[in-house]
Amino acid sequence: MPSLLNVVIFLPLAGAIAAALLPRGEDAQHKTWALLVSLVNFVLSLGLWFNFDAGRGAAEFQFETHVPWISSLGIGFHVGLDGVALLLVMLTTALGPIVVLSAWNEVEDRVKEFFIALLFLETAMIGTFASLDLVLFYVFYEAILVPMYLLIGIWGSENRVYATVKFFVYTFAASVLMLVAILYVYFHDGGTFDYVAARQSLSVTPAAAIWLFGAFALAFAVKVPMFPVHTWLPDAHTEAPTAGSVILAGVLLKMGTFGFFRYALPLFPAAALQFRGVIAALAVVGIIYGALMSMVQSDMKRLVAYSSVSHLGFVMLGMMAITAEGLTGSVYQMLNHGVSTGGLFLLVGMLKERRHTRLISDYGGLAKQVPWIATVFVIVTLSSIGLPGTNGFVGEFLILSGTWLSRLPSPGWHAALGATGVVLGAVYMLTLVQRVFLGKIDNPENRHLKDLSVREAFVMAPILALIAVMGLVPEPFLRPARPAVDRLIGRMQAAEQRLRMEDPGLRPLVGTEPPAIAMARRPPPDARAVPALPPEGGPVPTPGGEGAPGGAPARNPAHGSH
Amino acid sequence: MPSTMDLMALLPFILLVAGALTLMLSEVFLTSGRRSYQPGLTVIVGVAAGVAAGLAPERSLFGGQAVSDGVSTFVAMVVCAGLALSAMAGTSWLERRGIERGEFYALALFGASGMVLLAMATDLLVAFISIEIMSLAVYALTAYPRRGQRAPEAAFKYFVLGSFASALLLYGTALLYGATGSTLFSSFSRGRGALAATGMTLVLVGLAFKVAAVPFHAWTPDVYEGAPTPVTAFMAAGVKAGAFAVLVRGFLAMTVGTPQATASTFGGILGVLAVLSMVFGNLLALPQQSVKRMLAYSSIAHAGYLIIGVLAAASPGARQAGLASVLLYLAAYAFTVIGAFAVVGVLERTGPSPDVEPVEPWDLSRFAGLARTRPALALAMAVFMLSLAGVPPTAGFVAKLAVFQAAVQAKAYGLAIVGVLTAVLGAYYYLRVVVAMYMRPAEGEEASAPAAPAVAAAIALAALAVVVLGVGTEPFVGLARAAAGRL
Amino acid sequence: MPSFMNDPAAAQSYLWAIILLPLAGAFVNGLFGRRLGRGNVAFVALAMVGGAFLLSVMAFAYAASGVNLRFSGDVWFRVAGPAGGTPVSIPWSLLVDRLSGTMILVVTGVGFLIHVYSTSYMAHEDDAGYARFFTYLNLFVGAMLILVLGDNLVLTFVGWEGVGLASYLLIGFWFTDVEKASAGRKAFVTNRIGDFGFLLGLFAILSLFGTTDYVRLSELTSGLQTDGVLTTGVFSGWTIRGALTFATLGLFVGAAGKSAQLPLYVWLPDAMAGPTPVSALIHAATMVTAGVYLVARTSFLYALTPATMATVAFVGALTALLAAVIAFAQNDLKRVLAYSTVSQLGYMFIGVGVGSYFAGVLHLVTHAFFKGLLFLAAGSVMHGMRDDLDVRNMGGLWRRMPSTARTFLVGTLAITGIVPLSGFFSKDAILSGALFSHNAAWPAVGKIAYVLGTIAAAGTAFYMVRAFALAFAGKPRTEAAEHAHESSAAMTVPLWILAFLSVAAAVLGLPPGIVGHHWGELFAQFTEPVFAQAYRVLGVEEHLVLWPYAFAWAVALVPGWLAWQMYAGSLRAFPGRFAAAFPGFYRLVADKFRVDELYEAILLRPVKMAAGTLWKVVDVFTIEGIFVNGIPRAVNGIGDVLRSLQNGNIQRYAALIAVAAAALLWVVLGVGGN
Repeated sequence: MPSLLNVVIFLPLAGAIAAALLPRGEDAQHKTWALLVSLVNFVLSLGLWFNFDAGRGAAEFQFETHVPWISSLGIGFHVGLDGVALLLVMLTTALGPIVVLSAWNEVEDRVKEFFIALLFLETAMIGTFASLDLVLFYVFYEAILVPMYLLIGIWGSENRVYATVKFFVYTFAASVLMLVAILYVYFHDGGTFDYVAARQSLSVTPAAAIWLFGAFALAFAVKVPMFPVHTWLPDAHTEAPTAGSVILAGVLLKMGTFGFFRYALPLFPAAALQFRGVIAALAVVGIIYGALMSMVQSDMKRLVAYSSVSHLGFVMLGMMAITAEGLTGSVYQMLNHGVSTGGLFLLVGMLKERRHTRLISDYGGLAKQVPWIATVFVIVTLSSIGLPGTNGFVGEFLILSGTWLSRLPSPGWHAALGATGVVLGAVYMLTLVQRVFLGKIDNPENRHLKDLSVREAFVMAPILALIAVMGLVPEPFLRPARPAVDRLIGRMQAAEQRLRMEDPGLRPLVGTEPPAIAMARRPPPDARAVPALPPEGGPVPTPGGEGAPGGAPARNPAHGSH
Repeated sequence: MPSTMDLMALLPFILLVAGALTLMLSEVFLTSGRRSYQPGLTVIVGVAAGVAAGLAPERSLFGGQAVSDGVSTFVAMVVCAGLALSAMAGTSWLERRGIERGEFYALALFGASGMVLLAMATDLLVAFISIEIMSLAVYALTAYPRRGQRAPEAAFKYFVLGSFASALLLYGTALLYGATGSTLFSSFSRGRGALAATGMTLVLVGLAFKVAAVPFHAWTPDVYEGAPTPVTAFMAAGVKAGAFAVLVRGFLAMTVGTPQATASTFGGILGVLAVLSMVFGNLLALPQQSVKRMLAYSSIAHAGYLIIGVLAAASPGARQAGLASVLLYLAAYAFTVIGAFAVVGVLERTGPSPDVEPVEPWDLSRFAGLARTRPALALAMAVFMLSLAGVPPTAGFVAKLAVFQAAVQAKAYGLAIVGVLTAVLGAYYYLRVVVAMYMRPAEGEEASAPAAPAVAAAIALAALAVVVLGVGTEPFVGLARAAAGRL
Repeated sequence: MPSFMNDPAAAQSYLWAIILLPLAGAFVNGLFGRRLGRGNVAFVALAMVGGAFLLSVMAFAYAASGVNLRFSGDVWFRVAGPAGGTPVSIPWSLLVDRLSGTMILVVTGVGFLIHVYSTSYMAHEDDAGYARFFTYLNLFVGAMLILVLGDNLVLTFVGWEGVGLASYLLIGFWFTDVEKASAGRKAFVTNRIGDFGFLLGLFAILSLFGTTDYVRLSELTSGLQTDGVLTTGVFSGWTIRGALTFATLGLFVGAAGKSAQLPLYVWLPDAMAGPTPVSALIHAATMVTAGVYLVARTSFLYALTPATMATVAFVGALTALLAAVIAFAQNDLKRVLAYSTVSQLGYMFIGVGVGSYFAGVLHLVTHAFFKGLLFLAAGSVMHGMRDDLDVRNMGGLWRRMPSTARTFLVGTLAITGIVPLSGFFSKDAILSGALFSHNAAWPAVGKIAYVLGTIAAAGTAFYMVRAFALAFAGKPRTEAAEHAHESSAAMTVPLWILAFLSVAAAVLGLPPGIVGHHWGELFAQFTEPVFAQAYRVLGVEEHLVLWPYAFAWAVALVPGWLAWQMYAGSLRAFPGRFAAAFPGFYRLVADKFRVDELYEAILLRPVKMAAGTLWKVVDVFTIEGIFVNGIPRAVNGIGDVLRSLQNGNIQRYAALIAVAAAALLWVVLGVGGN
């Protein structure tokens, strides 16, 4: 039981309980305590990061704990991490202290409850990613609703109650059917609540699988959120306090995409293959639709919220491509979105803290007044629109190329339409930058704003660092995802084989299309994978040069005959 | 001639009756104004009876007309816990209205004894008698405050409709006796033809009335709202427990061993009742402004969920799971709802004088800003609401999980889906209370009196139980399953 | 003498320094620039670019001596699926051959001169601004070098967007002016549209060849038969030629965006909002030529796709003409130069479009010299004129700003194409290349391009001489012109150097017909290895006829002379009369054919409106109104109705029970009875 993972899961909860015992009045104490707990938890989670073995031979799930919980209902406490879960847990623990710091001054009312809710939330989130038992997963997954509901409803802005009730009921309604599906899984041949076992032995009729997949997919699609069930997000984001928005964008939305990756696809691969076309199409719609929505928003947070719809559309598109490139990219994009959109919400929160308004039109020309905030904002913006060198590019490139190379129906269209999101992204984000930071300061209230404070610098520093590191050295973040991705593709291919049994004429569905021309005339694959220095002083061929084999000798225009 | 073992098995019943008699006598002889010992005594008796129930041996009593088995034990324990908690919650409520008298607790004990006996009944006559013991006590408790009109009116309704239902039950019993020459549940299977069918139907109706299943629910909101709040709590916890115990036994008797057609018919009927209860219970709770009335309707909805468990129990594949889920649900619901009503009782607006009835005493506005004025109370109420809504990690969630699991195991997917969807509806109105407590500013009116230690203790215990059942739930589930196994 | 001087293997490992130096400069100035003080800022910036220049010279020397340098860096990111193949495997690898070698020389060389120039030009900025400027400038150089040196399409794309960013930042350098800020945004977004095409082309190539590495691509395409039909992937059912056409067209869309060709040229004129050195470096000498470089770099692909070649040539020709015409009626000196840049870029695309790649690249080089020169001179004029750039307010600057005027004249003659300046040879290499090219599938395109190009050449001569005449000849027309003064040496010296280069570069393109094979078209011989494969496919051969040269000369001289007469000589009255004669046409031209307005009307506004309506209709009304909020409302309604039935009436309750019981009985007896 006392494995490191369990500590990481439950430390924040313990911290919350301890905080409940602290006296109410002492706000400073509560803040420091929350910061301390989340920091310690991050440090501990680093232990997971460094001890995780992403080698080929390594176990799929590591740091596993498997003890009975409600055994008479067949429910066990089974937790463990594969690479993807690890990455998301790291994202969660890393955002923890950042979020606490960001709330330092924003929250004056009921500070104690606020940080208790925050810590409780962290446990629930980590638990969701770590669970390997379907019911346990569901428990954590739903337990998140309560603290989030309070965060928005108590510390949110004007329209908070509507937003929070909407958030709760919307997501709750979508996920209850998943519970029925989970129970159904339990009672079918080889069925159990234990994810790993269920994935191995579960065999349900294709018809049933479709319904089950539907139930899971609906729950997760709302969480992602995918068009057209995204409308809870703008309200929740807009009304939530900064910390809430950051957690929503940073972690909560990933539960949807993670759910697809971990549950919906591996458990019901055949059904997933049937639905992927629809989902991919919706993802593309989401990319474009979200971007268009962002273009017409007058409220900063709403704009960023809609941009999340667009970004998560990328994630889903890459996932439905079911190619190594697409899946890896989609995992990577989950992290990117957490970092850059989280960062944007932090920055918007800083501006809101200074000016108490979210309306873009109330700003303008701030760059002269707060150059550092402006600089940081621009950098985060660039990452959000996927400029090469930032984390965003790696994710979007992998997703789009993965889609292009995939065996989706008409992959070209999916990739091309998805790529328009890159253009639109530049449009609305740069417009935002311009309207907020550039031009002259015409509103006198913007004249006396303070630039980045030390605390805020500490909040943003890790974000910037991640943007740069993940943009230039993605390898360490890609490596853990690799085994999980390969395993998923393996499952999908197996399912494809089964389908082909019934219908031999089935066109290939899963995996990357081999390069059409190269097949014929190419040295073995991977030759260029790890480039080596050419032999000492050995001649390096020029592209298009004589070094190229075959063909008649070129006729030099300068020496050609007349 | 009953043996000592029989007495041991009946000990809970005996203890409760004895406690009741003691209180009545004390009321006659100790006419000092100090009655603080009465709730204490009630709690002690309740706990003792609960323990006794736990230790009760398994055997069939009265020549097979009653049985002491796992189900009866479990239900008895739930009833006794409910009794003790409601008694604790009751004291200050009565004190504040200056109507603290011995009969109250005596009646409560009588009612409890009836419930305990009901849980043991395997014979229609025994069932009828214990129902009457229980009901008469509860009628009286409902009318208890005497002053004002709400309570008497509620009691009157309850009495008239209750008698109507009892009459149907009795008539059904007679018909079945005519058809099978016996009143034992076990004899249902021998019943053939219209006579037996009619009899069983009427019996089912009678029981459906007691569990307040739609469309036999109409009395519930008025009575729950009219009755003194502690009584309402006791009803919601105890009457439901007892009634469901006998419903399970009766319904199993109707569906197991009887002709396929009969079984499926009654299964279908109960299924319809379940759906109606879940849908209408929740729909009706939705628009309520009075929290007490809202809880009344929600109790109808919960009856619906419980019936799902009963139905599951009737399918051979899921017998044990079904029974266990019912028992677990009863326990979870008892703790949750008693806690909730206790909070309602604390916040209840009191009139200027006992004779003048307060307006909207349980209005939602009473809860506004509670999180700021009385955080602990608000937290407890929030826990109860989440548990009623079935949000993890609370007892309510585990209970619903168990019920739906049983349903799915019995391949009753439709019921399960209706169940979860209506649960969402439930979440919607339970959240309104949380919204009021946490997200609305406190209103200027007089702050309700602080909760007396006893009440506070009751609420705390209930909240604790709800959380513990939600997280460390295994022992209880195990207990329930074991009990279900020993039917 | 360090080892990399004589050891290629060592030298290749130093290649990264060429890029890292400017980036380091940007980093230092970006973080500490405010505190360093101008002197140090300038020093850091210049030192870094200067160092990069020296290294580039070295690398170039190797390339010139026939040894290509290849830096094989670590993998940036790479995805190996279970299938084994790794199409997406992007290494940080660099390549210096004669093409990229030439480019880095231009970038760092001209870049260095412009850095020097800027130290004086930006002197009036406050410290923060000064540091910011050089930060961006170094950033640009670094990005541009990545673009040029990258040995695969993805790395080129990295630089591609990097320079876009730098350009965005520099155009909007004076961001407190919304106009300028928007200009920057416009540039970035327009480029993103181009990059969209670039990405698709890149993906297409990836899916065809499984690599984006130039060397590997050329290996895979050499001797490739393009008639085969593909059966798998995105292009199943296409011929190889079709697929390649798609890919190359996609890349060309990117090129058109970056190099301001039709229809994506609109951002470049607005980009003049940036400081003049920026216009010179980014929007004349280097960045905007990236598109040409890209086509030249992938010549072996284009050679396989005649349709794309034709498109490139045709678009280039059209752009050259259109921009030249617009430039006629511009009075802002920098705008004239901007449109002339667009026009000249058009020439380069004709060159690479008709298969005489060397000519395109040669023009790229010479253009970098004389257009950089012209812009810097314009900047100097701007200083002299106190930031007034309207040629109508100038005049008589010849005497007041001697070096500026003389160098500007050199630049004018060069771009006009007067023998023996570099512009003449490069441009006419292109035109004759167009005239004699035979694009099998599209034979006419070469000829059309020749005609349009020649007309455009005439136009160029006209508007350049016009600008020169208005600005420098005659008498001062305003106070400002009266008191104009020459700029500092830091600004004039680079002018002279560039002027010299604009003349000297002629050596690279002398016609073999005159100077003989050994000296003829040195640059063609020099770049021959790079384009060999493409030439092989196209079967380009050379024509020693001379009349095109003579004709082109005339084409340059006559309109030039005409313009001189009109704006400085005896025909002064004519332009006014012309404008009066065709007011509509004149206005249309002066308004740049209102292309911006057109885009605004048919593209931007519709999109915005569509977005707005979608939001209202889909989100707010349908999803929110009908479902999300509608369902709860309906449920509440039902609840209310039901509640009204629950009215406490005991008889009704009893009746309900009775009826229900009766119903149950009916059911039971209907089924269970006998």
